[in-house]
Amino acid sequence: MSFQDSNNKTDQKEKKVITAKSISNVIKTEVETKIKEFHDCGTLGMNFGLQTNQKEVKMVINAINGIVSRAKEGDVVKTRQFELMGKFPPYKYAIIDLEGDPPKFFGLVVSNQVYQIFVTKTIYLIDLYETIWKILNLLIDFYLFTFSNHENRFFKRILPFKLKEGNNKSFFQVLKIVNVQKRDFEGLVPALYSLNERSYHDPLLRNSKNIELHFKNGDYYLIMEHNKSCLLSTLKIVQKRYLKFHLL
Amino acid sequence: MNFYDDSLQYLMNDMLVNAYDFSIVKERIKKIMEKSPCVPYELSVILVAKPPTIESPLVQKFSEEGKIKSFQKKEVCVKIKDAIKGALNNYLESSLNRFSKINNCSTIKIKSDDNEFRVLIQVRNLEKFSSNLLYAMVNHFNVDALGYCDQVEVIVSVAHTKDSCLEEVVKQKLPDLPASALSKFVTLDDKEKVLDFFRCPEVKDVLFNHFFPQGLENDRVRTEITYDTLRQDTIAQKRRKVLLPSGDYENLHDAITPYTTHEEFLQIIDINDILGFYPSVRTTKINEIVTAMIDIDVSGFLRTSFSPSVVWNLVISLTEEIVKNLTDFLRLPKPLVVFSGSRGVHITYKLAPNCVNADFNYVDYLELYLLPSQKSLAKNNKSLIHSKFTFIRSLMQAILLYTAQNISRDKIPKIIQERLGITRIMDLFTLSVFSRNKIGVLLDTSSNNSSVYRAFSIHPGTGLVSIPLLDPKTKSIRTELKDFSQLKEECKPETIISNLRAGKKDIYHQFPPEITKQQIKYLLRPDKLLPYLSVIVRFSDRWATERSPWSMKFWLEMYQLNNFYHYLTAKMLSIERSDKRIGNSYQEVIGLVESSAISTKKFVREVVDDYFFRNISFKALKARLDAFHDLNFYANFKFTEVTTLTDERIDALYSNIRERSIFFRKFASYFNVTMVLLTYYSQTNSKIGITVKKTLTTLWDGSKALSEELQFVVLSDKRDRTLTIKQQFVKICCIFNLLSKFIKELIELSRLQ
Repeated sequence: MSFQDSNNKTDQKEKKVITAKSISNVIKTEVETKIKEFHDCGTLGMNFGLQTNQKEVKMVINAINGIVSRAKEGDVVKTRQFELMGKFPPYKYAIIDLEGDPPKFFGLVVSNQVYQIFVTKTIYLIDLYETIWKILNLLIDFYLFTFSNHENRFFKRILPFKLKEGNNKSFFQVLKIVNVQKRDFEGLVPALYSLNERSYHDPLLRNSKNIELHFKNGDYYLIMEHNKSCLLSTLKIVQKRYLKFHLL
Repeated sequence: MNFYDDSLQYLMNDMLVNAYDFSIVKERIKKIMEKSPCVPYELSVILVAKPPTIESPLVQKFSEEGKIKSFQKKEVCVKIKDAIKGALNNYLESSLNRFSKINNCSTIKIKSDDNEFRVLIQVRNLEKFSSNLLYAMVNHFNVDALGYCDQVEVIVSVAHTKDSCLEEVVKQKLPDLPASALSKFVTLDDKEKVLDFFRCPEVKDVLFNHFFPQGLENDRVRTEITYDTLRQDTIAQKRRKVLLPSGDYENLHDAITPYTTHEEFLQIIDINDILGFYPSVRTTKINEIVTAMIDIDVSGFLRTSFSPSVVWNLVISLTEEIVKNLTDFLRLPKPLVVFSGSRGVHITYKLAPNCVNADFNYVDYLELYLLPSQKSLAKNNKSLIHSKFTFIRSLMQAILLYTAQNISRDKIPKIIQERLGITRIMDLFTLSVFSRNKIGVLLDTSSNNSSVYRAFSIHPGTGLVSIPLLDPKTKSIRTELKDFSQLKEECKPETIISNLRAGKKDIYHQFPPEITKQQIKYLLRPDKLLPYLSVIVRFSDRWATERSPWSMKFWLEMYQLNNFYHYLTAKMLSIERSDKRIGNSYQEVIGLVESSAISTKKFVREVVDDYFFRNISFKALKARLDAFHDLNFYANFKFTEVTTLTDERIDALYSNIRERSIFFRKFASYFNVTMVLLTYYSQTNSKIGITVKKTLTTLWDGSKALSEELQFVVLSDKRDRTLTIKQQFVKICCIFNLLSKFIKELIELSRLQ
C-alpha cells in the first residue's frame, strides 16, 4: 500500500465522521433546545426563577396533597408522606428521585414535605405514572433537582409514551430537570463527604442494583428507606452546594 | 491456582533447608583489592546456579518422605525455578545507576536456561570501589532461593590494566551448609531459652497490652495475632491457628482473652513452639484499624557495604528526623519507637476509636475529595477514598515523603555519602517494596494494609528482642541505645529478664500514643501533608521518589497552590453564615490563609473578609478565588503559555472541536481574572475601572452564547451561518489576545514590584 493510499483512507475516515455528525439532525435539534434551555434557565434565569413566596409554595403543596390522597383511595398506588424539620426558605424547587427499572417508586421533596409514591405490582405502573404526571403538572414552574441523568431521561423520553392520554412530549420538554452531580457518575456519599456532611442511613447500603430483587420479595420498606436517604442527601447537596454555586 | 497451592507454598518453605556460603568470594575479593601492588582495572564475577530437577537429591528426599506426591514433582520443580528467577531479578544495576560514583562502572546480566542460571557482574574502574562494596554487589545475589539449587559455582576473573584480558582467579563450587549454621537463626534447639523469656510475667502484660489496644477492660477491641513457630532446620514460620491443650485448633486471637492466665499462655506457647507474636493493625472486627505504623528497613546491600554501627547511625538519625517532623511540623504526640530486632525501627501510633470511618465504602474525610484523579480513585475499590487501611498507609507515606524531601545532608553519615557518591538524598529512600531502588532504605508502610508488626518478641533471625528505644520520661531515644553494640546487649532476652526482675519495668511498658480525628484532619491541611499526598496519588508510592529534583519541586508547588485554593473553597462552602460559631470558622480560615505560602495572600484575605462581613455571595467569592488561583498558576507554572494567538493557531482552533473547548475554558479563566482584578483596581480608581468593566461585560455576554454554540458546530457545514460564526470566533480570539496581553503585563509588573 502506497503512502497516498493511506492518506486517502484517513481522509475518507475523517469525512465519514464529519458527515455522520452533520447528518444527525436529531442530535442537532436536541442541542439547539439545550442551548435554549441554557439561556432560559441560565444562572441569571435561575436566580429570578427560584424566587417565590410562601403562599405559592403552600398552594402547590395543598394541590399535591389532594392528588396523593385521591391516589390513595384507589388502593392501587401506595403512598408515604412526612414532614422535615428545620427552616425552608420559599424557593421554587423540588427534589425528585425514581427507584427501579422501569420506575416503581417515586420520591418527591417540596419545601418541607416528603412524598413517596409507589406500586406493589407492575401491572399498576400506569396508575403510578398518571399520578406522577398530575404532580409534575403542578411543578411546571419548579426546578426539579436530581442526582443522576436517569430521571431526566425517563421523564423526557419514556414517560410521554407511557401515559393514557397519548403523546405529551411537548409538556415534558418544558420541565426544568437539573442534574446536580459535579461530574458523571459522582457518588452521593462522596458528594456529601466533600461537603463535610454525614451520610444518611440506608438499609440497601447505597446499592440500588438490588432494588428489583427487593421489589420481587416485597421488601417495599427497604426501598422506601433507600429512596428517603437518596432524597435527603440530594436535598442537602442542593442546599449546601448547588444553590451556593449558582445563586448570586 | 489449584486446590493444593497453599500447601505447596508451605512445602517449598520446608524445602529451604540449605544455604550457600559466600565467604570464599568475600575473601577472594578482599585479597584482590588489598594484596595486589596496584588496584586492578576490572573484576568479573560469574555465579552459576543449577536449579533442582526431578532427580535432584532434595526433591527425591521429600518424595521419599511422602511430602511431595509423584504428580507434584514437576510442578514443584517449575515453581522452584520461578522462585529462583524472581529472586535473582533484583534490579541491582538500575539501583546502582542512581549513585554518581558507581554509575556506568558496572554491568550486571542475568541469563537463564532450563538447566542453569548465570549471573555476570562486571565492574570497571575499581579504584572507586571498596572491597566491601564489591562484595555487597555479589552478595546481593545471595538470595534465600539459591538454597534450592543443586549446585552454585563461582568464577572470579581480574584484568589488571585497561588493555589486559580477564584472567581467571577462582573457579569453585560454593559449599552448601544447613541454613541454620550460616545465619545462626533461632531454631527448635533454643526453645528453652525462648520459654525462659516468656516465663517472665511482665512479658505477658506487655504483650496483652498490644493484643487489646483499648485496654483489657474493653476486650471487644482485640487485634488479629500471628505468631512465629520454631523449626528444626529452617527459619521460624508464621502461623495464625494454634493447637489448644484440648486438642482443638483455633485462631490465636480467639484463644487468648484478657482472662487468660500466665500458665495457660505459657502452655499455648509450649505446645505450639511459639517464638514471637505479631499483632495486626486490624481488629478481629472486620474493617477496623487500630494502629498506624512506619517501618524503617535497611536494605541488605547497605548492611553488607557498611559496618553495623554506620547503618544504625543512619537509621537513628532518620528516625529522629521523622519524629521531629511528626511532633514539630505536624503537632502529633511523640510516637512509640521500637527496635525491630534486626537493623530496623518501627514507629507506631494508636488510632482513636472511630478515627477513620468508611461508611458505604467511602472514607469520611473532606480533604480526600480534593485530591487529583478523583475518577480513577473512585473506580479503584482499594484506593484511599474507599479503604481506610490504604488511607492510613498513604498518610504515613506522605509523612515519609515529606521527610525524604526535606531531610538535610548532615543527617546522612558521611561515609555513606562518600562511598556511594550520593548527589540527591532522595535516592537513598524508597517508599515501595516494588521500587527498582533495591539498595536504599525502605521506608515501609505496607504493614498498615491490614498486616502485622512484631511486638516485644524475639526476632527469628537474630534472637534479639524488639524493645522500645525511648526513655520512658523524656520520650526521646535513649543515648546508650544509639550505640549498636550496646543495643545488642540490651536486646538480649537474658538482659531483659534481669532488668525486669530488677524492677525496671518502665523501659518496656511503653505503648503507642493515641491520635484523634482532629489531628488527622490537621495533617491533611494544604500547608501540611495534602500536597505530598497529592504527589503520591498522582505518581503512586513507587514512582513518587523517582522524580528529578526539578520535577518534584514543580509538582509540589503546583499541588500546594491547587490544594490551598480547593481546600479554602471547600471550607468556605461548608461554613454557614447563620451558624453561631462563625467566629471560630473565621479564625480557622484566616489562620489557614496566613500560614499558606501563596503570593496573593493579601487579596485572598480581603475576599474572605468580604464573605464574612460584607455578605457577598458564594458565587462571587468563588469567582474571585478562582481568579487569584489562575493568576498564580499562570505566573508560577505556565507563564510561557500566556501568549497571543496567531492566524494559523486561530484556524487550527476553529477546526478542532476538542482544542476549541479547551480554548473556551482558558478564555473564561482569562476573562474572570481580568474582571476580578479590574474590580479590585476600580475600588481605588473608580472611573477607569467601571468603564473598562462595562465594555468587557458586553463583550462577554456576546461571546458566552457564541462559545456555547460553537461547541456543536460541524466543520463540513458550509452554510452562511457558519461564516458569520467564524467571523465572530475571530473576534473572540482578538479579545483573548487583548486579555492575554493584559495578564502577561500584569504578571510582569507584579514580578518587578
